[in-house]
Amino acid sequence: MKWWPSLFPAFRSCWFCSSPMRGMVAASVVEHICPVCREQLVILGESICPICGRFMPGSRDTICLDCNRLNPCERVVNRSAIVYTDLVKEWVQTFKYCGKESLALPMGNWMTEVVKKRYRGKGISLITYVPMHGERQRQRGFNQAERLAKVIGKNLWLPVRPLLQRKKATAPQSKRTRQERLLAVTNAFAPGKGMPDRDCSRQTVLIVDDVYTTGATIRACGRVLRENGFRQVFSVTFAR
Amino acid sequence: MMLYYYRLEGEKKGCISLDPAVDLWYWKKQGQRLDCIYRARSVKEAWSCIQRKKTGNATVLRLEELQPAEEPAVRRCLKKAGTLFSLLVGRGLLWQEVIQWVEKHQLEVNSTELRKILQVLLLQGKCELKPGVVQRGSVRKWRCERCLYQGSEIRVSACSTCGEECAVCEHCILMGRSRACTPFFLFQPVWEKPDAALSPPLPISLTRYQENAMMEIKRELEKNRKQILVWAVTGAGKTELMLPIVKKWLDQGKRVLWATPRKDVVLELFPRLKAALAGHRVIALYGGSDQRFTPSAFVLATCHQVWRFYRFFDLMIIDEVDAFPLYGDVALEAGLHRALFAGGQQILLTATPPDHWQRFAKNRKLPTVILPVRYHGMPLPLPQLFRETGLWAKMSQKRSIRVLARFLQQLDQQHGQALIFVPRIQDVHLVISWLKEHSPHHFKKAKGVYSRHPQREKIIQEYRDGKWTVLVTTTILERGVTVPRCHVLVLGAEHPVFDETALVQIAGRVGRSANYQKGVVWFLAQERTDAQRQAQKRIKKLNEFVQKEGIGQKGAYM
Repeated sequence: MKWWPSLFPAFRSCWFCSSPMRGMVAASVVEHICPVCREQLVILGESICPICGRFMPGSRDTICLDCNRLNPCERVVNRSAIVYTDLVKEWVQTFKYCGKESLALPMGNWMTEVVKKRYRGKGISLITYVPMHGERQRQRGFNQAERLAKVIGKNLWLPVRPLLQRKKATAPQSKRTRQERLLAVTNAFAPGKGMPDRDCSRQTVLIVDDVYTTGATIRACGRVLRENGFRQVFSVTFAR
Repeated sequence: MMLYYYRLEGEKKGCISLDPAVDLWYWKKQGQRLDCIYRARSVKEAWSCIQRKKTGNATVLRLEELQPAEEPAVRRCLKKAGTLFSLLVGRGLLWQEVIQWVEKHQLEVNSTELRKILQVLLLQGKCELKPGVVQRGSVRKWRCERCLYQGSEIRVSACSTCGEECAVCEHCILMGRSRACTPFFLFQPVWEKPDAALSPPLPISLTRYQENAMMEIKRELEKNRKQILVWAVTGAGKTELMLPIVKKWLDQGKRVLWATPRKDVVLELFPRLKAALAGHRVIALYGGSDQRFTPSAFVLATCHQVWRFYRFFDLMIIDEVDAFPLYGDVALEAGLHRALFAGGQQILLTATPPDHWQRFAKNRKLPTVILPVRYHGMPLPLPQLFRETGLWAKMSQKRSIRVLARFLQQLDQQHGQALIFVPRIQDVHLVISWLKEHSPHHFKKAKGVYSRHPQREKIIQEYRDGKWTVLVTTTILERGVTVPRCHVLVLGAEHPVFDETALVQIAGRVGRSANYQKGVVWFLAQERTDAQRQAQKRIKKLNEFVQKEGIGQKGAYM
């Protein structure tokens, strides 16, 4: 009976490390992460910065210093699933650089849960993602933010549009210091081929990316979207 | 990545080309003409042109517009092709890996030139080109050419590299991505003329019984057996046993692979083999090894790394054949067979052959050499079974556990070092915190370790050096660990991860040193399982066999 275990698997495995564990099929992503992985995670709960979603243990509704420094009209509200710890870094690298595209599913599902919980009643009508430069995307074979956005869009029944495009090829943000990051991405983005011609001032758009570090990328995207008439811009990332 | 597909005049079968200019030059020299030529977007498309003899979406090129390469340029390529081939002989590499090799060895070749060089090798028949994943027939028949995997881990996804949907293999993804549009190169091995290398004699001496086993293996090898099973009990000195054979083959100028499924075993064996085989180059390959780009005749590798070889080795020693992840993984097994040179031989080393292998051995289907006695001739320690109901509840509530306390007590009396095995990773912490409560002086010298522990290697080394008395571990340490004053306790021995083989291996950690035989093996479980009883029975049988044959202590020591 070779087909038996394919219908009724003996056990399910952890989404990220494939060690066997118990769990219901319909459980949330967090419940399908093995205790060893979960031990090394910091899941973002209520004590976060209300703007950028940074983990701030012990405080509530106080804006973090980095957001305080910014011009209020430049801020983009961001929410993330987990803190960017070493293990999460490993996952993101496996996903992005090793190209294990199947990780888009648990990561996207998890981000969907975040969107449902944090942006309830915000009236998000459109999803877009942080674009990659054409040459880089050809090398890597896929755009990780696009994959995540597709999963989220499918879960939420919302359209995913390529509203943005990257004008210049920048070196990877992950290899820069804070100051360099903030400078590098200004004017890196332009309206893409998915940008609608008609008035979109009543629409609320959600930007999807994998990691939020300084937020420079997300803010640069947000600025372009606002310049093109979108009323409200939110963002969701996997790690913060 | 652009590729070309062409047919020669008067021939039905087509060819793939990386750079048609080289082909034009080559066939002009051979006095043949091209019939038609197409440009394909990826190796997948070019490959399907050959297989289906249909050109599909490939673009037709006009032959008149193509110019053959110029003579001096080709000469340069030929020269560089020789250098590249001498480095890559007998390897199976993806396109991006070939580029890494070129960069590492500073060949100063850009990508257009590299395509020309590889095309020269293809035309010379020194190299074969395939797509990373072959999409042919139904989905279940699709196969990753790199890791030879067929099954559900091959997925289709939109690919920006070739602009289509193509298949990607997630089975071997941690070693670099193999896609349907990624070219995969198999470099043919060449039979090098053996240079009689004189290496210093081995710094080891074998016991009489080991000597006999070794001679028997040599006899079987001379009979040209494809596979030989060497069944040696834990602590029999398998490594020492194989060294004379490895040395003999290396001295003859042949190529030898020592493969094992575990990285820990590679790390442990490497210094030992390097010391023993002075005079030969020894390299260790594992995930994150820095010797990846070194060619060598003797390779010590984890089984996954063997996917990067193609018909290279004359002799293959596969250590711990029955261990996870090798046993039962069709792809890894196929990889090992592919890395074997025509007429090559495999020696399978194990202390616990699976049941059906034992049957093969009995029916003489698989030539087998048995070494049932340890190198010092002492019997194997027999496991004792204990029962404790509600073990894990007691552990988490920090209530006293009689057997565990007694184990620690006798450990102190015998001045030993303990290995405490637990079934799951989360149990490691439970046991450590139990020790904190009930036995503080042991807690101070206790550490926990599991597969993904950040300091795993360091802690194990410190334990070997005697810094820690108690090491709480999952099954990662069931093999390949030698600590002279070892005592073993298995907590929760009823858990399915502790099958018969695992328990026999665990019991084999004890009493490996001739001058310390006081170590004990205790299995503590909530209930008796078949595995525990079978493990006990098997060890008992082996000891009885040794007694009956009279090859115990006295004989082995001669």
